Amino acid sequence: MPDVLQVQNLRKEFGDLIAVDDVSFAIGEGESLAIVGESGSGKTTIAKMIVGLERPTGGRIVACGHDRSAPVRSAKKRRERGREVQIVFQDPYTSLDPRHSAEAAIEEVLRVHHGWDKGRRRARVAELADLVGLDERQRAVPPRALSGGQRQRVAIARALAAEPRILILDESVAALDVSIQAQVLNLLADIRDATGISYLLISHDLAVVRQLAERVIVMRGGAVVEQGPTGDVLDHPQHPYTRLLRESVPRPGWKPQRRVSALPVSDRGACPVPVW
Amino acid sequence: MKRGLMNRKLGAAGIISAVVIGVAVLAAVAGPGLAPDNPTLPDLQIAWVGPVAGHLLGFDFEGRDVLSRLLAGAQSSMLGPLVVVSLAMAGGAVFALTAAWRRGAADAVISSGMDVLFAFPGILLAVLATTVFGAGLTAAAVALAIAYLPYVARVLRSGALRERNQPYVQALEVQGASVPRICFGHVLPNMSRIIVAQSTVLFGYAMVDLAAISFLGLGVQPPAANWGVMISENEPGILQGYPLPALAAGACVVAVVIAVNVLGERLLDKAVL
Amino acid sequence: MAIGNLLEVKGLQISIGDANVLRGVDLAIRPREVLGLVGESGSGKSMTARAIARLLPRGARSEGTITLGDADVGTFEGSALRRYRGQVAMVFQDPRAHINPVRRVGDFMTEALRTNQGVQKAEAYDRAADMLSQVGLDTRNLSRYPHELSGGMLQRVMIASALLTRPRLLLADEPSTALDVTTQAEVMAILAELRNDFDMALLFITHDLELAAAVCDRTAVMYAGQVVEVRDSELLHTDPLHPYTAALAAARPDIGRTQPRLRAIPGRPLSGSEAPADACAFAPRCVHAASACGQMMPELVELDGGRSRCLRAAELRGTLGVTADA
Repeated sequence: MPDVLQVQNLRKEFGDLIAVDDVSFAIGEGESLAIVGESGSGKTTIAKMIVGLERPTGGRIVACGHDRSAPVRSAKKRRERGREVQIVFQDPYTSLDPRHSAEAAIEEVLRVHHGWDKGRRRARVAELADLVGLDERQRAVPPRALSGGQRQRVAIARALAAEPRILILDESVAALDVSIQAQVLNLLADIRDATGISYLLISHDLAVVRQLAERVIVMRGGAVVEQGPTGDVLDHPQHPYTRLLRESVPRPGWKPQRRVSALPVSDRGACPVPVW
Repeated sequence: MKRGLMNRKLGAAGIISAVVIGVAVLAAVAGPGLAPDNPTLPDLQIAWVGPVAGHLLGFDFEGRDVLSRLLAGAQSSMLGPLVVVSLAMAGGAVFALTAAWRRGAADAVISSGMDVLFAFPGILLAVLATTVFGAGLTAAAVALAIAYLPYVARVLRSGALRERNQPYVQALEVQGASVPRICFGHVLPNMSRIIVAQSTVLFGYAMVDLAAISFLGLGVQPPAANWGVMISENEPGILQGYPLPALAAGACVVAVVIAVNVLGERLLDKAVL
Repeated sequence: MAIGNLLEVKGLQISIGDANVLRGVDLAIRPREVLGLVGESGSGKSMTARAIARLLPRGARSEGTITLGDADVGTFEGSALRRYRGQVAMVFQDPRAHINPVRRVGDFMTEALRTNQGVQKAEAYDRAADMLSQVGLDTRNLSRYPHELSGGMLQRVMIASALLTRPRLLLADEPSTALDVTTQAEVMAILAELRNDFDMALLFITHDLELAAAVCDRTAVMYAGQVVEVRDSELLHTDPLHPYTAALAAARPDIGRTQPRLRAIPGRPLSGSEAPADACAFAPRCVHAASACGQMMPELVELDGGRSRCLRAAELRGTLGVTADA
């Protein structure tokens, strides 16, 4: 089974700062991969490069067999790529146009991608809204009348309207209440079961990663420090940084320690992590 | 019920402003027909005569009924600023969106171009335009619009940049929506508050600047009725003890400018937009 | 005021406009205690802290009392209020939003000392420098601007500033939520040390039940503008007294294993203004709800050293814990 997403030697520099340093990974059909890291790790930059919002300095990105190593300008090409990879952002409050209801937002995506008549569009909007659990009232009101969790459902439905093979979830549940986060995580698992979609999950939350992703990549300062099946990496971390991350998660009996010095900086000269 | 809603949203100041603007618009549309007397026919025998029955504001320096002339002049006085604002906002929006969307070289070129335009005061450009194209409202209005462009473009550019960097715009980009669809369907509508705010302020400036241009004799030409022209031609009366015609025209300008600004502010304040 | 309590909140109700943000908050903080305050959106946890800090928005109406020692905090004005601010300090979630970006860190830190307590400039700077090193920051940061510091460093500056007046109680509203998890651990360690060194009580507000259970002595759980449970932290997961606490703990993914399906709570968290006045606010989402739950508002009752606002608390005792459900 060919991979739906391949990233090879991806690199991004912002002037002197190396934000992403030689990152490679692949996601197979129906698989879910998580990228875990703290701020400055480069994980969000990778997501942006894959969807074309940021131009890589080097490396290769191939999605569904098509090269997308550089962003494209034309609407037609962006549309084609939009049918391969979509993204759900972190902040439910700015990821929807405040003037458009869920119905309008989803319908617009359908209009961009298909030449369907109104009836067919409406039917598909209803299908997608059902899929993500939005009732009739929630479909028709502007985003300010919806809660954070409901807005994320709209964002997910809008992303799915393009029928992508890969959905990038960029901290998509981080801003949600715990009880709502659980609902959305269950929803994402259900969607994956129903459609065979692949997920690239960007997250700082190790428990969420454990729940949703089979494999995980740990990043620090732009470079990959460890990767493997989620269970292995979280239960038996090899790299000191992974161990530190794991140790920093609160649990019964947890005694947070002050760090005397920072971990050694990667000797490939990746961006230095500040000493606290 | 609807009246109550308007009250709460607009407040007393807002309602008064709306009424003032309403009257001015009505005058602009129907003015010449509403005028009780001929606004342009001179009758020097009754020049400067004060208010009498049937002529509430008296007569101007050429013996014309001031009220009639104000009503007749409303059209060009309101239309001029409207044209200026429309052209400046449209042009400014195009430049702003282009600069914000393409960034990089396009942004640098446009911003530098705007910087150059900033150096030219509106009135100067209007004077130049009228010397080249002949006196009249059109040349003056277009020249003013060009002079205002950089101000509008600068304000709209920051608004456009902010919207452009919002995740919902990025989501549309990733979906493959075309740039015009994103700009006109999403970015501009979400800038409506800035656009209205800028337009109301600009209307005030345009009205005063156009009145000044007419005052200089470069805009609307006498004997056509226009508030700015009326200020100019009746100005000698102020020193001679007949201030009413000039002041009445000036009051019209001031009233409309204030009303537009207040109404715009109220609309924005109460998030009607 | 019960003997030994540093601060007591009794029957606190707050409304802003039409919204009943707090509908009955009862808390007690002992000296040197770390009390956690956990809740989701709309629970009222931030508003409770602001009420204690006398930082309520204009137009807020309140009932109930907040007492520090013997004094009613709500009656403080002028110099009494300034003194109070020296005794009860607050740290907020987003440090960048609470510091003036065009003033240096040192200016920010010494301002309260110099204006409220009349401390001389040199001494104020000395104290600030000392406090910075206590939180593990280089004293050269005094002359830096906020944008030159990372989020974690800035939060430590805020903590240091709050501690300059040697408060008896520190209110921390999600102090580590906006920080990386490793930085969060560091900030928590600092707070724990400072609590010991400065003999200080800490009201720690968070949405993270695991964090509260790990670092707080006792934890209060809020829902829809009310306190629904108060419990010793070590018992919070194993023997909670309220179905909401149990449901919240169960809804969280487990870092140690992948569950086939998370136990999500249906519906969404209510805010105080959406909650009914004569029924349990959580009942519609509760798996243990009985018909009585929809007919009367439960009181906060004592139970096994803790408190619970659940009609069926005694009945359900011992069955709500995580271990019981595996």
